[in-house]
Amino acid sequence: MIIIDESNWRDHAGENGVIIDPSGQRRKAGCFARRTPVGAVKCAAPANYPLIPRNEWASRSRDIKAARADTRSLLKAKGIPAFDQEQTSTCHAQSAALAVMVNRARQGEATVILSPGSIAGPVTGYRDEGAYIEDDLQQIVDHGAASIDFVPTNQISRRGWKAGAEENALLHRVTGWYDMGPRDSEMFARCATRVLLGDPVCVAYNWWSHAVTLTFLVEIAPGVFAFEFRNSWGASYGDDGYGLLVEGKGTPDAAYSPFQSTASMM
Amino acid sequence: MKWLYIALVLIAGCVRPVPGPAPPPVPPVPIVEPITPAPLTVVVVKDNASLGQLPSSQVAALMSENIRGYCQTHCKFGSDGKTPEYRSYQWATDVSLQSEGVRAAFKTAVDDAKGSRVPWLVVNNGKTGFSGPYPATEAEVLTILQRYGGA
Repeated sequence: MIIIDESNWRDHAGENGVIIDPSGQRRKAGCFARRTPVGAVKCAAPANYPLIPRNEWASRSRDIKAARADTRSLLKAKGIPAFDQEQTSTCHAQSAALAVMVNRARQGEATVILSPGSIAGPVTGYRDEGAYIEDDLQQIVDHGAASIDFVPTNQISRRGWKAGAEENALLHRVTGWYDMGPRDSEMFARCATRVLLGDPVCVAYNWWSHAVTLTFLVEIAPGVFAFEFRNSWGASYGDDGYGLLVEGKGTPDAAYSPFQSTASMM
Repeated sequence: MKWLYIALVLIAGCVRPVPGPAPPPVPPVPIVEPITPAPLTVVVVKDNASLGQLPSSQVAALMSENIRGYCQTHCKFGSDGKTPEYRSYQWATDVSLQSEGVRAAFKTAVDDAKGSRVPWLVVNNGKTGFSGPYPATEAEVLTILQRYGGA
């Protein structure tokens, strides 16, 4: 298992827009944390929900894991594989697409593998560029994400979109996001509350120039917590695509969580 | 001492019990039709913002893999033939694109909850069903599901 903390984060961080992943593969940095002030992201609501107290985190994490109610178990049961963004800069859209799939799975919607390319393309003007997650969220609210049956996973250019892709994407919209920023003393707790309630959190890290999806909270030592995250560097990354980000370096610079998706027809 | 004992027995034999109030009539036992298990439609409605205030066991039950697994094998399937009619929605969800069964169950939850925002469970097997606050534990939920959907 990959555990990223204050002692080793430089080993994972990139330079000049390139990140070397643990297998030695070059990955393009692709995410800018935040452009719009907190509260002004048009498609997101403020995260003004009650926080789960820190002294309950460990027991709740254990209870959920015991019931196999955590997001990783859900994705496994639904057969949703790890994304691999390959040589693209689309981590921003990969993170958002996975979050939508988790939210849809929680609602009980049909399992549809969504295409990050169908989000990243329109957001970047169909160019292989980094982006702000907030733009991906707006794209998903307005237009949704198409199935990979209509747009291949990492297809960014318009070429390769099948007829009907836009109509298909409308079935997979998010109608509500929480904006969890700013990166203050409660940011970690706001994200912890969401993942302990089964919601995914799209996060961006300035130090990493990268976006991933938080899936759960685990206690790695007494009183020490880390987010389990799913990366978009394939199943060979960490443990089947998962790693741990310890509180501190694991506290995101921007974070958004979907709380409602379109109740789409079978 | 022997005479005293005999006297007490005689006195006791002469005392008649005072008649008390008549016992309440026994209500007739209702004839309960046995529930014939049938494929279910299961809809949970909840308020995402307040879930963190629920007990841990109830949160785990809301997301339980065992309940999801039960529904996978005991719920009706949607028009794709593989997705069970087991949904978990926010109160303000537009379900107009869903099947008639899911729409009806969602409406039952909204009507029965009467504005309450506690998590609500609706189970329907086509003939009868359950509508009430979401139980506190996974075991209680499974008991309700098995009552209408079979073991």
